[in-house]
Amino acid sequence: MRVFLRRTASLLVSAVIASFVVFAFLSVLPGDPAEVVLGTNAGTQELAALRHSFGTDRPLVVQYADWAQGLLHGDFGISYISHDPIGPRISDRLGVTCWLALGGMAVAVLFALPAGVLAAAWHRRPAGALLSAVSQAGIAVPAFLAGILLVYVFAVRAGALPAGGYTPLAEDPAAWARQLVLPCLSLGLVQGAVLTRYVRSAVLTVLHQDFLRTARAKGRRQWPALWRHGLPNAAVPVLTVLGLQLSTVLVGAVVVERVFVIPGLGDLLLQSVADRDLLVVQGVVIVLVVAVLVVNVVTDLLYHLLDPRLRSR
Amino acid sequence: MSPVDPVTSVDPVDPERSAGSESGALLEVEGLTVDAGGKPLVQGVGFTVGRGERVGIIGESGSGKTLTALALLGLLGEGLRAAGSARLAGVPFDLLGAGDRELSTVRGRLAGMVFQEPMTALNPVMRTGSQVAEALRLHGPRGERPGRAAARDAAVELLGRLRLPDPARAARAYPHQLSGGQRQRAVLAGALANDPALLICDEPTTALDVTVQKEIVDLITGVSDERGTAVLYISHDLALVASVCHRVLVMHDGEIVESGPVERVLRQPEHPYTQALLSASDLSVPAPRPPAPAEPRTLLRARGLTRRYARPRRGLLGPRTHFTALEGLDLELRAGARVGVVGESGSGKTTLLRLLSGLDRPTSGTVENAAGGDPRSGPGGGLQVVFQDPMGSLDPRMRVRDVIAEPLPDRRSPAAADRVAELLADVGLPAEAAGRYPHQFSGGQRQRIAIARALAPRPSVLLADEPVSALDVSVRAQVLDVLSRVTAERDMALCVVTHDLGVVRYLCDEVVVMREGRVVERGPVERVWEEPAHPYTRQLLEAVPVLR
Repeated sequence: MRVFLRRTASLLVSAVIASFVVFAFLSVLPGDPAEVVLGTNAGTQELAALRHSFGTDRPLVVQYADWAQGLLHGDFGISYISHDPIGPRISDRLGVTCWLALGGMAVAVLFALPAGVLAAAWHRRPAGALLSAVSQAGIAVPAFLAGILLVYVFAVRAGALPAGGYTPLAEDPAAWARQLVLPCLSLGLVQGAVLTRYVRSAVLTVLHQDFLRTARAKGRRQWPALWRHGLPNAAVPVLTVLGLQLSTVLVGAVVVERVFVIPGLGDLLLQSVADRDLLVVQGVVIVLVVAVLVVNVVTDLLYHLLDPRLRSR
Repeated sequence: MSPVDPVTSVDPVDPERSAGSESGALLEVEGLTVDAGGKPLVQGVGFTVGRGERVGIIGESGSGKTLTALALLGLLGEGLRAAGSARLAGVPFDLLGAGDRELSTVRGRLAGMVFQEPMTALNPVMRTGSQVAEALRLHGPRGERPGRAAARDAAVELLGRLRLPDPARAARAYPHQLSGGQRQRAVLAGALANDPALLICDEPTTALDVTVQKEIVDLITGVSDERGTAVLYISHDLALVASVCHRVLVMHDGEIVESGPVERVLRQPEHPYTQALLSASDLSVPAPRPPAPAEPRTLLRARGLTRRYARPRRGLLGPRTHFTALEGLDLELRAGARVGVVGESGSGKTTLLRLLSGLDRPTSGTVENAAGGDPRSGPGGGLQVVFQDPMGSLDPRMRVRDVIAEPLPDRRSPAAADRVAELLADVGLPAEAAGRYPHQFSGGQRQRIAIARALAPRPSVLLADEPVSALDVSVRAQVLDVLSRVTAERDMALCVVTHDLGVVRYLCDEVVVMREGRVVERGPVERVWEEPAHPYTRQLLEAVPVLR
């Protein structure tokens, strides 16, 4: 409990610092939103009027305070370009990206856990070497290439699954699921290949631990001993990688969103950067930063749950 | 011992039904061979263990004693194969040909095993009680196995019988919250849970303090006497085996070279290896002493040495508490002196060595170093340290020549090369050793390299931290003799920190007995051995198994 409070407190501090850094960076960058909206031929008076209505003529500190205060209420401001409120746009997109990231990680874990454990347990057999080789090759494949290959095989050739697009879950669950399969696979298989390596090495380490032998000396058979005693111990290092990967996937879903034409957060980010819609960029970045921070805190708390040695400190 | 009556269990193996061997022996091993990819590690080992009999296997590292034990229960590591035959009474199949499924009905039920390292033998993320209860829940016919709660209660009871203080709390604790001795009791509880006919112990006390060792050994012999449990006790310590076992097997290079009743083997050893082992493990005749220098110069003087470590605060505003590792210690080292500092883990002896050598600074008190080399800047020319682990204390990527020459001012000069050759000769290693790497040497040779390295800058004080506790008996005496000779030849002061009373007796003139950071007794070795004044010293001396 104390750990929980401490980690949450440090999360808040990090979030505040991050918001400050994000704001500072985007304010320093050249590109006046008013100029972007009105074009290069605008008169000074029109510009000043627009700046005043955007609030960008105020001192930076005031702008920051205003923005940050809005964030606390879930108000991300109003887009300079489309004049929509930014908050709902981000939350729509965040939902899509979360489904994609979670689906991708689910694929990765479902693939990596058995593959990693088997590769470790069979590390002296050809089957284990084969699993290692496959995962090695998987690491070398970029996610977008995996995506294109999957589209070619399953959508173009077999015609079994849609090649892209997105339907919200509430509208049509079946279409939603069908459209997410290929993106999640292309995201997940590559991450899964990486994760397999870590699972394998964690299980290999555990395989040679004395307590596994003790468990067998008590009458546990080989595989149950690995399951009951080995895996809970191997989970600790694997969790670290899993947390890092979830962050990577959240932020890195951009590419896969492009390949599969999915309206996710990454897609919104790229579009806003192209449009110079700085307030949207700012909002998306801060949401991603907070998401990564939350993943880190959750990983940390899970550590404490998994390893009693960390708890009694 | 077991709250679950073993007689009622009737699955694959039934101790009541199948008679086992004709001869009435509990365990009969014949022609046991273990090989690693064609390379034999254990060869043609045969022996028997009678019901309730305690048999010891003595051997040094690499003798195959542990492999023999592991092979019996099918616990050999990957790449190792066992052949031969091993019959255990009540088991219808040969242990050595059996698969994991069959053997799992024997392990933990008819034969329990305790391992060397209690620190790693328990699962760190599982409560101790559950690990003991596991042994109970794995055996017996399905449907009659105890439930979770019943097994938990039985485990607490079992821990209590193995004299763990506050067994209920110990059962709830995770292994890291228990001491080494407590963990070993928990491992023992798991091994004894189903009241096995045979208990295999693989160096169960090597990692423990002498007083704890005595408790564990008493526990094992107590259970054996009370329940008629046969024990196969593996150890490198002859005196310990002598105090536990009825019969002993001596292993060397994968073979049994001698066997017989303990008394006979230890009094009239027939095989030359047994004879050599016996004379090497006898440290009761001290090493030859040099004549004391006429007017010994004081080289190192410690006054009121105290070292406290801050404990992490409990919570943000919690009070800052301290742990005192060493309190108010005075020590004087004169030229030619040989001082032994003895204590168990947590006594502060290693802290003392770190302070004396300047690797750490005292919280209060002073170290005056007249030996040269400022102790605050780490071990200098005047003062050198030999550490415990000869595996870890030498840089594996440096040639021996560079290891030894490192403290010399001009490492690449021909003079340095001469000095290296001279030092190697001093510690009894051939000159060509200079061109090789540390991993090409045995533990004893590596420790001699470490001594040569320490001697290189011509120190006047040599500090040694457990210099032989990682070594086999047969090389222990050699290393101690080297230490004794080189310090005597140079009129150096020697200070040895160790848990091994035998080492102090063999090597030192003066002993300092420490406990919980304080000196409980000090004086000439002879006097302390003959008439220990402090009860703790007496307890220590009594706990050490001796060859009569």
